[in-house]
Amino acid sequence: MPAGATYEPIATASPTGTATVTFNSIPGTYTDLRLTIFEAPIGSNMRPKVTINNTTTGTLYSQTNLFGTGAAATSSSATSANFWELNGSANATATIPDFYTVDLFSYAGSTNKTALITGSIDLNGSGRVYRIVGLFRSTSAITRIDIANEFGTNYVAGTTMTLYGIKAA
Amino acid sequence: MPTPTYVAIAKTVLTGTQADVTFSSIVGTYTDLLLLISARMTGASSRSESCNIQLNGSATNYSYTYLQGSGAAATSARASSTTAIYIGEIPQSTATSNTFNNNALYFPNYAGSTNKVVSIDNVQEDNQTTAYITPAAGLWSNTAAITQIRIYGVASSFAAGSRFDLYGIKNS
Repeated sequence: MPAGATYEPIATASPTGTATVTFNSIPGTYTDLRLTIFEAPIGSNMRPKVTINNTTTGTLYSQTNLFGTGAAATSSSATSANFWELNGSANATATIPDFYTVDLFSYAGSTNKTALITGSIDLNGSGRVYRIVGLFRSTSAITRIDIANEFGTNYVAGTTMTLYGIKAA
Repeated sequence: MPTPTYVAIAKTVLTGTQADVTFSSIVGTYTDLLLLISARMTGASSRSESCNIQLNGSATNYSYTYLQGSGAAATSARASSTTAIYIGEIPQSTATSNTFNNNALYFPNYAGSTNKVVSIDNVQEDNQTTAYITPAAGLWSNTAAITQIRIYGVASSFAAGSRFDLYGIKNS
C-alpha cells in the first residue's frame, strides 16, 4: 500500500473584491502547515497581516524581524501585538506582485505556536527581503488562519493564497 | 489516486564541469516551481563566486534585493533594471574541499499573467572567517510564463557533482 501523501494542498483562495482571506476548519491531522501568499498588485498600499484562530485581541502575538532594504540590513521586533505583520513597508505598485510564506510547525500540538515567515518584495528600485520569526502565545491547536491587507483595500484577480499540510512519517 | 502536489520535473547532476545549467520547456501545469541547487564552481580566484539566473533566454528587465551575512557583517543591496537575478554565493575550488552550497529558489505563480517574482535562500559555509548566507527577492518584469531557467556563475563553470533539481508544486 503506498504511503500517504506528505505535502497536500488543504485549501486555496483566489480573493477578489475582499481584503481578507480565511482558512477555517483546518484539520489537525497534519504535522506542519505552510501558507503561501502571492499578492497581485492593487495600485495602492498593500501588505499582509496574519491572525490565528480569529484572535485579534489580547496582544498574544510577537515577532522579530531581519530584513534588507537594499541599502541596509536591519533587525526590529514587535511585542504584545494583535497580529503578525509580514512587511513593515508597503507595496503600492500597480504592476509588481509580492510573495510571502508562513511555516507553522506542530500547529496542532499543545505548545505555543512559532512561525517561520519569509517575505520577498522587490519593486525594481525599492522593496525589502524579510526573514521573520513569529510567536502566538496560545497552546490551542491552530484551526483558523486569517490573512488581511492591513490597509483594508480589496485584493484583485491574480492574488492566490494556499494552505498546505505536511505530514511527518 | 490523489493528484501529486510536489512533483520532480527534471534534474541535472554534473559528472564533469559545465559552464551553465538550463531547464527548458518547463510545462505550465503547476502552480509554483521550486529549484534546489547544491553546487561548487571551478574557479580559483576567491573562495566563492556570485551566481545568477536568467529566465526564458532574456537578459533584460531583472531586479533584486538581498540581505547578506558574511560572518563579519550584515549588509543589504539591490540592483534594478539589470541583466540577471543574483541568487547568492557558490564555493570555488579554493574553498574547503568536498563542500557545496545550498540554494532554494521558489517561483510562485510562474505561469500566471503577472510579473514574475522569485524568493531565494542561499547558504555557503567554508569553515573560514568569511562565508555567506543570502536571502533575496528577485523580480523579472515580464508577464510571460516561465518556460526556461538558466543558472550560471559569473566567473567560472560548475564543478562535477553539482546538482540541480526542479520541482513543480500544485495547489489543487
